[in-house]
Amino acid sequence: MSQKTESPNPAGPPDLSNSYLGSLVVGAVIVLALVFLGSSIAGNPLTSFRMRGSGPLPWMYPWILAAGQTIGNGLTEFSGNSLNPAEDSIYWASLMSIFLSGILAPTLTLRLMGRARAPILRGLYIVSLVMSTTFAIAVVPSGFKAYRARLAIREAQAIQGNKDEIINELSVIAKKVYEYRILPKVHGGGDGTTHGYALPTSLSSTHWATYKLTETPVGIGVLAASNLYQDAGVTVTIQPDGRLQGWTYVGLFQ
Amino acid sequence: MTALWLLVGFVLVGVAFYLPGRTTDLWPNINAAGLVLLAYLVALLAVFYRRKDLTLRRRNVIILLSAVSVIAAVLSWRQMEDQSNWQRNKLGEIGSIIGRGIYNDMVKDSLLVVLEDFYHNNGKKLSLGEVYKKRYPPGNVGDAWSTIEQSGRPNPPDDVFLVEISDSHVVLVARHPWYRGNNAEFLNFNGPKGTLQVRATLTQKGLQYVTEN
Repeated sequence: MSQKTESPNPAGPPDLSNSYLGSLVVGAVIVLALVFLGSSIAGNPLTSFRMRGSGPLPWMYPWILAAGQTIGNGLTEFSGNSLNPAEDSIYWASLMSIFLSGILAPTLTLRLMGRARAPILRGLYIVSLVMSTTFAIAVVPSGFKAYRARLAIREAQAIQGNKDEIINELSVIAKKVYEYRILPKVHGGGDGTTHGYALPTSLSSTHWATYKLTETPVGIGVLAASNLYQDAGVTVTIQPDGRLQGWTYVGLFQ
Repeated sequence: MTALWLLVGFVLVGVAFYLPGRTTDLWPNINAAGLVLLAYLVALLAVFYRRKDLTLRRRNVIILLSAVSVIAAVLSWRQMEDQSNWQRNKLGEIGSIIGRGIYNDMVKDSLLVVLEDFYHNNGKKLSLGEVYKKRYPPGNVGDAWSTIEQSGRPNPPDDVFLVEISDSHVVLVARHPWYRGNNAEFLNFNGPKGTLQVRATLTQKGLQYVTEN
């Protein structure tokens, strides 16, 4: 690379000049304010989809708007309603977000750097520099926070999913006990009592849990020990009519 | 020249954004726009790097910071797409778990009380089918439970149907209007496609309960 290439343009601002550093400082202060306000107003990006369109994060990051739309669609499906195309306002907000943080800010910053002489261009440059710096500084920690939140949500959901499946299986066992009490002995039942009921092999240990039954004065006690999470479990009592009473959750299920 | 850059960027990214059309999700639109935007930014940075009026050090610093920002943005973008789709999918799975739980409780309870009546409250020695009809009149094949079930159930049981009845057995099919089953192509009884469906068969030997989808 030639010496000429290495030399700063004498007509432009000096390398890392005071004005340039000042711009960065102003930008950093605004960044901190925006990030702080963003967290206060919108909260964690992963849990703030109801706030889409408000707060700085959705306006800087179109993917937050899209994620909010996708999760909103999931809730719509969950409720049994049909999906409709995204609202015009969401489309516009997404496109404007891309235009502002993806095109306008970096283009003005990179194109006007060292060239902005007129006050209006200087002002445009400062604004675009602040926007670009804001985007650049905020995207790294917010991405890291989102990553951590993602891991936490998945772990919490996995635990809750295991608990839900165990509750379902306990309900299956409870109905088996009720059926056993009804059926006569000739059909393998207890003929009016739950005494002698034994879990079938297919239900005593499943992918989700291992179940142990004990006869009690008021019914059959069940201890469900999770097969996925050590020390996590459920205890409950099956009434003779198949109702489940006295739920107790242990360990991670609490 | 700067205005031209802006104009080209707005037009190319805007066209890419609208190319996938109006969809229920925004991802096709912003992903298309994002790919074009990435190409635009690479071009912008390449041109910036060739500028002779800035020191090499300054250009290197700017390029490095820009690259870090773009990489972080791409990772956040992809991560958020993956996470939001995961959460949407998980909502569907939760719906299926809830639906299975409701049917296991409601359908089995409703038939086991018939079995209990048959064995323990059956002075007139009625058949299984007759006991069912006595408890849930009129007991015609094809009946939806909305017309026969007693009140007090957690959900209106208009998605549970009596499909067979005789002296020796009673068959109910329950299919959820929207909670999905295992197979999206499954043809459900009397209605939707791919949703949760269970079949319960009551005989004198007990209850057979099968999750069909």
